Amino acid sequence: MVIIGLSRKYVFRRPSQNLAVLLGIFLGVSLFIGIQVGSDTLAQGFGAVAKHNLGSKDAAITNRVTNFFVDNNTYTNILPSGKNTYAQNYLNELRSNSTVNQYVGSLSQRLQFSVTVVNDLLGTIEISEPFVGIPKNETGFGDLTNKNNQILKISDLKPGEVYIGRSLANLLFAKNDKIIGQNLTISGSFNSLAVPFGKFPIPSSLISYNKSILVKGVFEDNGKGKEQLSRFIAAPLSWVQQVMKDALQSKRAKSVLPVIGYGVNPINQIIVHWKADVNTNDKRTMAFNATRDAFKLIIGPQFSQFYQYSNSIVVIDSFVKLIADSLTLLLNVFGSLIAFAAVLVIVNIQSLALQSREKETGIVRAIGASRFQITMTNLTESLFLGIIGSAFGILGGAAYGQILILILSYSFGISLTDLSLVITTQIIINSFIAGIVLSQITGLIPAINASRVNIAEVLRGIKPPSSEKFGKKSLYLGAILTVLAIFQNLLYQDSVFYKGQEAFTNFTTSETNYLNILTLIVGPSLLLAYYRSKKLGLTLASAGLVFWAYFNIFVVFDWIKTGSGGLNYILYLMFSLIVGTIALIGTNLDFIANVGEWLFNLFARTKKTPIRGTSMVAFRQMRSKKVRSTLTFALFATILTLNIFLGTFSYSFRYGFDNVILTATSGSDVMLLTGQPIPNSVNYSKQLTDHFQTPGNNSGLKLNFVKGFTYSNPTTGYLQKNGSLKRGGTLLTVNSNSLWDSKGSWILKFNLLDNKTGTPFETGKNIQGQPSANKEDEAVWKALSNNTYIPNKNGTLRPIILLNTLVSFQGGQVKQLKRPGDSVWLNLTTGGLQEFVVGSILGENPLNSQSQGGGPPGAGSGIWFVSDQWTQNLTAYSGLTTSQNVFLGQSNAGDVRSKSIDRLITDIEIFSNKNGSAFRTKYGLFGVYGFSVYSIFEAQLEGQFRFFGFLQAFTSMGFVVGILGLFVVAYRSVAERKREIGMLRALGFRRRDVLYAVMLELIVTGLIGLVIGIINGIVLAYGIIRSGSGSAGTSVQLLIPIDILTIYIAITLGSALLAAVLPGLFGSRIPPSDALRYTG
Amino acid sequence: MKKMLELIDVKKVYNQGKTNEVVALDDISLTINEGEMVALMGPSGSGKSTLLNVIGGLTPVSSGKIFVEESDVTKLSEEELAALRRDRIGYIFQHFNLLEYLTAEQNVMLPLLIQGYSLNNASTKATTLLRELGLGGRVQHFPRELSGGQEQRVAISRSLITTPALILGDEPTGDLDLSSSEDVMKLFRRVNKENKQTLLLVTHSEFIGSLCDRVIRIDDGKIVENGELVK
Repeated sequence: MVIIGLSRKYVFRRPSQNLAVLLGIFLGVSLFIGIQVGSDTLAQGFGAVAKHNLGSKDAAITNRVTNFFVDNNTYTNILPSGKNTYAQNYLNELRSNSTVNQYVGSLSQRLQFSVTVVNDLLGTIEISEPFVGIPKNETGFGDLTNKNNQILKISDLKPGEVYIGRSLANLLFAKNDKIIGQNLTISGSFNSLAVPFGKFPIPSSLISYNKSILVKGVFEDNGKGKEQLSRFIAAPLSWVQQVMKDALQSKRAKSVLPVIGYGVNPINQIIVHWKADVNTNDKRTMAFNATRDAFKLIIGPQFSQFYQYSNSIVVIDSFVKLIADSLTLLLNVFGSLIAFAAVLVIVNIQSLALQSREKETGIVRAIGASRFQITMTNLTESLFLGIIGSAFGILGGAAYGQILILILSYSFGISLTDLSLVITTQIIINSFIAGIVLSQITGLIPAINASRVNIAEVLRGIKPPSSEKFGKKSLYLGAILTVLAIFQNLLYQDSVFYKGQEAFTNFTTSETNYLNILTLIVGPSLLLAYYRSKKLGLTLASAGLVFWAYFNIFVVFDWIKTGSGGLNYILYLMFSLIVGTIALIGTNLDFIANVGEWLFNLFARTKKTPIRGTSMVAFRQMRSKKVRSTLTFALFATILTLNIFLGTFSYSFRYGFDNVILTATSGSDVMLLTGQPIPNSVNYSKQLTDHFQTPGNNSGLKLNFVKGFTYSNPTTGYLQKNGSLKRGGTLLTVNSNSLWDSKGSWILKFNLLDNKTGTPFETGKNIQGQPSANKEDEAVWKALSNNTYIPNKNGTLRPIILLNTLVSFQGGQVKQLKRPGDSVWLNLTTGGLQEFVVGSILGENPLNSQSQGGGPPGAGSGIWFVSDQWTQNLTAYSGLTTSQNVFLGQSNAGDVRSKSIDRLITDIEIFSNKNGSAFRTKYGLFGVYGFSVYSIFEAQLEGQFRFFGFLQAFTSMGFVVGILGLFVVAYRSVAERKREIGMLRALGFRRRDVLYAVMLELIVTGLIGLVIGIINGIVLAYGIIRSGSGSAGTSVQLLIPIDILTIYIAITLGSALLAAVLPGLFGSRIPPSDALRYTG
Repeated sequence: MKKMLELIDVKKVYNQGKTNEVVALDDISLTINEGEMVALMGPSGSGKSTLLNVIGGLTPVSSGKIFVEESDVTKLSEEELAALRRDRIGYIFQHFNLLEYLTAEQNVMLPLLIQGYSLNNASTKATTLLRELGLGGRVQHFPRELSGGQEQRVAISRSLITTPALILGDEPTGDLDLSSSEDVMKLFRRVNKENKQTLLLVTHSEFIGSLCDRVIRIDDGKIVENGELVK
């Protein structure tokens, strides 16, 4: 009762002190709740967006085979047995099936292709846009509505008329509905090869189509059922089917018969929409399984061979849950570090509150209160504050959650209408638990310390110096940790004791060893702190933590060869760096303060000002209040480490990627794909370079040169004749027109001349008509471009192939798998394997040249060069046509990120595609689609950058915690130094000297946190980049984001200044005579 | 003889015009000449500390004039008052008011540093003075490591280090035993004789008063006795 009574009095009679504690707990709880609210809302938001795009598509049956028509001769071989009907017949059977009707509300049919769309008027182009045939009067797909909210009916469209989505219209530069009534050209091609399965090797035949379509309306994004929002073309199903038939008939005289669901009236998608009562994932899965069985019965055993049935809505739900869980985990990881900062603030505030009533505690102890009673009184008081703080924390959490939602909406482009704040009962309960736990954790140590006051000295107003050594607990803990560390390291087979440097060859063992060594550092240090000196023990422990973290970043990361960096390893690194540096500086704050004072006086040496007195007061006060100062700078050190790490990491990833791009492209900045084959690509290249010798109208850029290549699908190569030892790769074809350009040597290993018949290859001229600097390079290139056969190890002539280095790791050793003269095998379309002989191993991309450029993106590891004479014979090219032609060019922009390149691409598209242009008039429409090479990387980088931006915005919450903490510390510091301030004024300190002293102390404290944060943040970012956690691994450059750093420096010093100025002004304005009467 | 301090009709009223109005100083006029050592005595609440505070410009007067040497304290700006306290006045407090986080030497150096002295010069001066006052072995000690007498000697050193013309002591021996008080008074007398510094010491002790040149007694904010030179 006494405890509760006293604590109640403390709570309500010390409003200013307790308000600060309350604020601290409020912030802590807000943070905790904000993370939960944010992640719950996220899951809901992602789910809503994904489902919105699905529309009524709950499940869908699609053809596994994307190349659909086959000719009469092969059709009978591959048709599902006994089912020579079309998908539409299946559809009717499905619709009349009782099991299907039990679950399915509607079944809709579609015929959908990817087409190239050209805005003839402007020459702009988009590729791979869905061209969707929708049955007239179809409702299951969701209505298409225009900007006036009128429904655009498919039944109103005549053959050749379409509706186009707003997003696609915008991409074609046809804004403001001007596109309505305008013609577009769609073009594409497909293969008559129907079966990709090895059992039915049917030679492919290319079928191209080219149609003019009339835009009758533009539909907006907000309708249902748009899998790519409004980025597609909608047309009547019957007409889309007719387009296909026309294309086939124009190509072949023979009639084309249907196969696997395609035929006279082909469709390639059946959309399933469940009945209203199938509304949970369990029910959906049940319905899905039941209907799948029904489909199997109707279509036969080939169902799963020829069709793909996807449980779309359940898949999306699971995917969304996965994303939400991952995001929650990340928020929790980073949130825990901010929470750590918040705990520091609250501990600091609680300590200040209890210190300020030390005398009172002394009196209560003097009249008989036990230490336990004092501790419990203070903890009970904390409990009251925790409960009150929690109640407000829910509101704060909701506000914080809402902020996170806004940031999220901005970062990921999710509409706010899809994101609503989710606060569950569980969250409310959690907030109270969080508040209580937080109040007790942060109050425990200050409460115990308060109960330990030396009654006599406190009553006399003397503060005894703290002990030089740690107490018994340090001995026990140190002993336990030391023994534990010895056992950990001895029992662990992969420990550094047994394996030395080898213990760090993969991430898993490195992570375990990291922790084991940490224990070994901390344990003995605690023993030292007990036996010798607290300062020595703490210094050794903290220096050890810092050294060990740095050692891992700068040395161990070089040793790690396998595995990927776990989040835990990064967390341990972060914590040991943060805790280590804070403890190291905090323990030696007297030294730091002395150096600071010396430096400050050095600066003020020549000036006859009171500044030296001010600095002495500020620095000495700082070092005398070691714990308080340490907790204060620790706040900023933690928050800044986190923010600067994220800032540097994401900045490096975005802009430090340039060297990765340059390596991959070596100067190429323009990439062009063609929708239709260009028969003589060299001619097109020449036309382009000739035309763009004068700068383009939009871009003002010239085009140095353009080269054409053909890529294969990702394929598998075999390192042995029997088809074993597979290696994945992509083939890039080179022909006699593929002039190479390289000023440096790109051949790492070259021994063609050492081969048995070793006739030297001819040398020629490079692209600029100059003799090559390296004849051997050029010789190999010519051999390749001419499809030269060279001898294998047995002396038999085989076609040449160029490989990048192929290695394997065996017992930690790198072994080169293939050398020049060795053979590799690739799959042939006719079955079997074709042997190629390695002409050389490439040190770098032979198409690269630092000065002239020309290498295709991705032409690095895993790219193999073959002659284009193999294009039609290798399975790697199955399904690909010459329409896959790739052109790479180099502009004179000089910077792959230049926005002018995008404008140059518009110029090129206009030149190539615009109706009436000289090129199109003479050669026809090829559908040239361009993009900047950087944009390939940018899309990926942008996503990462936005994600890191979101995390940064999230962690910036820490600054609010930091500023509040600093303000409270400054205010309390001034309040309890009133008498001192009065005395200083009596000695001749001016008001502003008092203000300066308070400001200087806090700014220097903030500065220490800032320096720790900047160094730790950058080193951590460097470490993570080096660890290869990023997809680009060590290739990414560490770039220090000066502008972000400047902002953080300004925020830190600004908040320190702000936090100091108000209390400082308050202190300086206390009348000295009043201040001198103050007794604390 | 040169006037060091002159008060003319000084009035200090707290909470003026309010129900809890207190007249702390009521038309005080007095003069103290250069080199005098004067005791200011009176019962608790008589206005002694207030008088000291208004002289040092720590609190403004309600009316009247105060001249320290030539300067009218009541007309000085905050800046000028700070300069006056820094350069011409030395303060000694009953509770010493040493900064606990500074050593004896640093506490003494502080007034010199705010005058713009270099650290080295200030340190040399402070150490010399502390040695003179018998604290040579305590230079690097923190206040908590000193006895009450030693602390007061450090506080006195701090007030003397700038050689101020006027030293104001607010019960400087109030926390000290008789023997320590006697030592302190001897010290005051020494600096008074050697440097011709003027001292105005608030005290309750008749003994301390008896060691001064003159005793001024105040009661209820008024001077009730302005004794002439005792010795």
